[in-house]
Amino acid sequence: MNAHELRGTWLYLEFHQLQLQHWMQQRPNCEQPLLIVCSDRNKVVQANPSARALGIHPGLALSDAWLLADALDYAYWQPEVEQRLLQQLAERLYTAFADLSLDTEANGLWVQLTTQQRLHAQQQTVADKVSKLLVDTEYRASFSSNPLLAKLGIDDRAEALLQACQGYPLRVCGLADDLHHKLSSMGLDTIDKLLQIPVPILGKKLGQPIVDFILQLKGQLKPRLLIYQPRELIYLHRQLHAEVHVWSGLRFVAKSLLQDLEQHLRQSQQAVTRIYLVLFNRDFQGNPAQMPYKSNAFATFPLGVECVEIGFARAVYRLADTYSVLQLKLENRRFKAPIVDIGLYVEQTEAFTAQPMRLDQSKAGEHQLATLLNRLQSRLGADKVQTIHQHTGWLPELQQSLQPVSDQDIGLSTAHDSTQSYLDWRPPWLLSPKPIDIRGWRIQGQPQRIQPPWWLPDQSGAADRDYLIAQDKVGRWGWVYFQHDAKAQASPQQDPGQWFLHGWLS
Amino acid sequence: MLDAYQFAELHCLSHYSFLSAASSPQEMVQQAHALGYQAIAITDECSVAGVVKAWKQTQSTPIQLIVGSYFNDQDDTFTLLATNQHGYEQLSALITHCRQRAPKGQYQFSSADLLHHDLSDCVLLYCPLGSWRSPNTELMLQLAQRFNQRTFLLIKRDLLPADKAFVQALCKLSEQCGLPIVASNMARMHHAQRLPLLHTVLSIRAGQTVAQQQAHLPCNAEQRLRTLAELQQLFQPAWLKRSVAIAKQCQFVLDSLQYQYPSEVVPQGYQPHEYLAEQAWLGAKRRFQQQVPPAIAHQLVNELSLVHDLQYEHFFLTIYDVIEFARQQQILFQGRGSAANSVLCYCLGITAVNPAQSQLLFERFISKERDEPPDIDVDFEHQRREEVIQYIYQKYGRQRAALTATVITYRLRSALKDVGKALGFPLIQLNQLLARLDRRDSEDDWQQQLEAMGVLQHPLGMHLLQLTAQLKGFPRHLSQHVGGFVIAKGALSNLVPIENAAMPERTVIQWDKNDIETLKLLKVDVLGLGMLTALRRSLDIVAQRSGQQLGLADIPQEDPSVYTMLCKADAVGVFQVESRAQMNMLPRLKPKTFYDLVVQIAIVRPGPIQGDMVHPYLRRRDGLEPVTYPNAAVQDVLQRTLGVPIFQEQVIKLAMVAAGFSGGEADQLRRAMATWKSKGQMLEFKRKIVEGMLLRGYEEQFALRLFEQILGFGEYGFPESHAASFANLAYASAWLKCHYPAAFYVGLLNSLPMGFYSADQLVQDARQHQVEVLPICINQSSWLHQVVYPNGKACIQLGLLLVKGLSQSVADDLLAARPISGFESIQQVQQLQLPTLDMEALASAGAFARLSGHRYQTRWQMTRLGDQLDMLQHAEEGQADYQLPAPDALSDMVQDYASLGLTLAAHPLALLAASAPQLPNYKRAAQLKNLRSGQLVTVLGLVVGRQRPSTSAGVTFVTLEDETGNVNVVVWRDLGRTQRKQWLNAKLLEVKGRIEIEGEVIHVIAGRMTDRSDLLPTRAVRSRDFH
Repeated sequence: MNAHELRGTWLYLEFHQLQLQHWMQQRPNCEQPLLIVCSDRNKVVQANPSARALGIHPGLALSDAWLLADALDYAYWQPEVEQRLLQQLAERLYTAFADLSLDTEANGLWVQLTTQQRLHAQQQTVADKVSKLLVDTEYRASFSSNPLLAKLGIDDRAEALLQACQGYPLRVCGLADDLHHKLSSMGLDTIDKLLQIPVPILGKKLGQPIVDFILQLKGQLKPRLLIYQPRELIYLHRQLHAEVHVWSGLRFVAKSLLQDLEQHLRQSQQAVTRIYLVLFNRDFQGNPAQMPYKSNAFATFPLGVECVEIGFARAVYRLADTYSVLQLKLENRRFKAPIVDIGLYVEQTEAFTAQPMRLDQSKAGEHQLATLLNRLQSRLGADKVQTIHQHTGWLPELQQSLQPVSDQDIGLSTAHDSTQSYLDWRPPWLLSPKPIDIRGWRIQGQPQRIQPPWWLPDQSGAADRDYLIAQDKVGRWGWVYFQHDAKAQASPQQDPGQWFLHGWLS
Repeated sequence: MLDAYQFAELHCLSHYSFLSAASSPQEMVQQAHALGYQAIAITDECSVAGVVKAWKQTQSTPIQLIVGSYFNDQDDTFTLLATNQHGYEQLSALITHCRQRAPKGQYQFSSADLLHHDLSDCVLLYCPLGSWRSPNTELMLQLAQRFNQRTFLLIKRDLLPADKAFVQALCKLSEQCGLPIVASNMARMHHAQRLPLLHTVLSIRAGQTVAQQQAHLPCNAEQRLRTLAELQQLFQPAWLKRSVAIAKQCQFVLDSLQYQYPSEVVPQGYQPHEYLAEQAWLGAKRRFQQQVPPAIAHQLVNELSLVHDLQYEHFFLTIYDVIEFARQQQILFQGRGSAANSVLCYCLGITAVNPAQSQLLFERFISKERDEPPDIDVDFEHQRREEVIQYIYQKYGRQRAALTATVITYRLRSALKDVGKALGFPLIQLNQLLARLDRRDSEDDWQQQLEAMGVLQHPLGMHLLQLTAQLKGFPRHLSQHVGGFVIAKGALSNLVPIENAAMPERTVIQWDKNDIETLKLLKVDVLGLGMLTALRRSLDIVAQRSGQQLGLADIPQEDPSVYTMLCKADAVGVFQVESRAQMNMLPRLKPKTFYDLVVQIAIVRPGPIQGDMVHPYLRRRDGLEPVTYPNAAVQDVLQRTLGVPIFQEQVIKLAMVAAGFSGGEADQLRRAMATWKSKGQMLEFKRKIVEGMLLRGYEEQFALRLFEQILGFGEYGFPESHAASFANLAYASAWLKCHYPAAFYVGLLNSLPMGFYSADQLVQDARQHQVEVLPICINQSSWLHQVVYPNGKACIQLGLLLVKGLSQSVADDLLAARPISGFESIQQVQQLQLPTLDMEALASAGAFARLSGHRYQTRWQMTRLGDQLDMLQHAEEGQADYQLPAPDALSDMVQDYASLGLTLAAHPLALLAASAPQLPNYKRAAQLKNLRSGQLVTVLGLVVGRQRPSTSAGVTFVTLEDETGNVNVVVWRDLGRTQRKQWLNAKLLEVKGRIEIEGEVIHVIAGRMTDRSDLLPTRAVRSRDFH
């Protein structure tokens, strides 16, 4: 199409495989058939080229897809992921186009070009601009005189509407199911057939929705569009007066940024669990006063940008809390290049409810614990600070596991899922099973017999254990068990198994 | 050290406590015996469903079986053991009471029931599993008083944390209440190896995975039958010995149950044998027009005498009473099976096999040596069978009559699915495995196929295979038998507990037909047969036109035109000879007499096929092979089938006349033939048969050949009497098709679902026989299909029952309101204010075509907003004038299939050929006979049938339908495997192959198949798949 007047022109961008593209970008050069599947109906909704080459297409049942490709991989469709990706795309386009509307149902975006006509007089220019902003993203673009036609991919600017819509199926026009069903039951399955019937007659038969639809097709009624509003992203920036090579040179500036952040958060009664410090060196080509975008959803930041992520065990807002953790994180860090600008941004905040002053020491203790944990995690790494979690299980060692500390652990709750009754006492801390000579022990009571859970891969075929309480020669009470020989054919008395110590009671 | 026989297990569950235990009653009995137990009690939960099987096992495994059951009340268990027959009746009555006040599969019990029911001959074992921490001592004292030294505390040791405290609590309780303690394993499995299976079934029952359920699962295998040495370590000697003492009190044995027939079937003033004989002779005179042939009379006397000796008169009279009811209600019926060997049954009117026409073998039905009760199956019209069932309930009452149970067991699919879910496999993955599993693949069994699919790569893959194999055959739940009744003189619950079935107004006993046979109780089978319904409907239509009522017996016999039709394999819809295999055989066998038809029906069966009788018979019939007999005795047996044994009775008779078997031995042979694969008894019979025949001067080759043929019958050949019963109906339906085709098709269509063919295929067949079929019409159709006579010619008027989404009650309202001259407009119908969905269904079916022209216009006229807004009512005037374009032929066809399941328009392929230029060139069905055998050919058609008989060695027969007829395609096994994706689910299939023509029989041997379903505008074409 040659140069067009873009007055009253709409551009619709459709992204039909967002989640799949997201996934493929994490697996570059992957030739395996990949699918996104709708979990409730087990049907394919998105398929990569390798899958399509084998005859797998959207709408196919997953069980049929398996017949066509033995080695495919699939993930379940997550609409919230696609919403997030769509938002990110809108953010990018927003840098060039102010009039954006989101089509969340169909993963699309409308761009109204009327106000841009001075800047983008040619359709091709617009298309090129969009292409640059959406590099590495698959999309379909269509221009038309109104939003609905643009979405449908029907361009009526060069010919009459009736001709432009010739043969276009109504089933993809987004009509309500019952309305579409009624129309197709009457043989009205394409737009042109519908347009041939006088609107008043259609309206009197089928009601307002069909009238609205036709008026939208004709551009006489504008649909309700969800205007895009950019996220409120907190971004603070400071330019340095000299290059800084080490952390000590950044301390003052960082504190200043955090102070501003505290003020902002205090005013809005918000707190954060994660902040990002953005460090610019001379290689950065852009404007550090603006939040730098990644070239795509997952790539690293542009050349010349280092980003440091700081997480907190619980939501915080005060300078005192944030700075100490930041300091721990950065004090030994080596920068890739001398820093010339520094920025701070926050992606997500949460409402903060002020806690009343209490004399309750446990709450004070919780706070101290939280602070300590924040510092330890920052110093050592989040996964290095762990606590014991209880689980349902038979074998004692499977009833406990060490997990990184989370916010829930700070409540110091003593309640835990206990499948043990008071009759099933066992030591809180287990040893690694240590072979013992039972002749040096005095056994008490009757055994408790436990068979390892056969459904666990490393336990299948493992032998029974008989647990008992026993006292050693020096009077210590231990928790011991006899591990039967899984292959023992002899009677229990002659079972050539082994005794182990698994924990101490005192 | 415990001596043997110093322990009796008094509480154990079999897998008849559905999804609560992991071993069969037989396994429990065998293991208890192997461990040296004195006795074992099978005490399933509120049930005795497993005791007969356990008892049968004790016939070969000598251990005392105690009959009992346990009941659960808030996790406390109450186990009752029958000490004698009276105790058993009390137990059965309690189970019945608890089951009948709860929905199917459940029961309602509280400990108070033990105080209110008479259980004076039962022992009670109480285990307070739920309440031991705070026991109800008051209840225990009451029970102790009520049961008077027959109450004990049951103790178990599971080596769980609470064990010690539990034992201490029970000891204390014993002292407080004066109840002695007795030990038990409370076993749910016979061996520790079954623990994974136990976990699996418990998880299936809870609807969770094993991992999710682990907190509730036993973490060791102590709930099993343990060795005496282990028991001695766990329990005090006194507790163990007490179990033996209790076992000695329980002396009830199952085979002491006395069954008594209902007595009201014998009128006052008669003795049973007198009344039976009177009715039999009256019937004989009716059957033989007052001139009973001497041979028949002689046989009847013998049969009556044998029945009297065995005291089976009531049995025959009970069935006679039922069929007399059916006769009075004009419900068609026919007895079949071994009963058709009986002259007595023929004279009473139970069966329809004329003994003058067939060689009967009464010993096949009853003999003194058989030592089992007779079995009479009676088929009734399937749509009226319920009337017969209700008659039985009304006559005998629900306390005296109940249906036998059927145990629904796990098959491969259900086992794989349930085990997989319990192990945590995603359902989608299990469905994929099942979809790819070819259960009829005889080369690779299912485990090998799953391994080939990579199941073992999953960490639980081996468990999936092993547990599925174990779970296959396990009972899932009890269901009702289709029509097997047990009727008793007194309360049936004295014999066996009764529980509610899923259907309202139905009750079912807890034993299945195998249990009934084991205990030699009598059962009456009231079965349904669709063809009887179809025949009655057709005969009624003929009678309406002719003014003369026709019964089955009135149909003219041996009509040559009927056989001519059958010889051309024109047998769609004809009873028993409409399958692909039968239609292939008809042009070869060319039946010309009734007996030929009997042979036709019997010969296309696994028995004759695997015994290689088919080809010899056909060759001899065609004169291509001489018919010879070694002697007159064999000739007497085999003459009617040209020297080839085809019927089961012939095999039995040969064993008697040629090998010298007695009647009883021959009967054992008959049983072994049905189960030879598992029992391995046939080698013993081989020796007897061959030696016996050699002794009588037969050649060894002949003897060995005969034995091979007998082996083939292991897959079940038909008894002649059974084939003859079916041939009666086959001939009747063929006669109707030949002479009254419209009535024939309408009878079938109104009796669907039944038979091999869908409504679509029957209608196509009717049109190919020049029977005009009129479309659904709001003004012409009734609910049922009808034969109408516009212009004097019989036509089929399709009925409203064909309309998907139209309910009969709405149709009745519509028909009641329809004016004699018919509706004049759609608005007139709308004024009836019928439900919207039903109106839409009628519109979709084209029922208003005469009023509005086509379905689009109908729907346009039916759509209105005027009901919502008054002011629009005026605005709607003139809207009906707007004319929508009519649908094209293809769209019409699609909608026909969607709304009716058939089309009266051009065949889909004819339409496709006109509208889809990309259709390949292909030969029509009607053109194939003009080709030469061996020629390469391409055919294309709708897939209307896929069959893979068990005798076909993996070969699949696919039936394609085009606009000129049907094409029979043969897909060899290996080709079927490699091209499975093409043909398995195809609706439209292209086949390139080679044609084979043998007389009238034409096949296309498939070479290359292509699924062309994407060319079809509709997936609504249905095929009849038998895999």
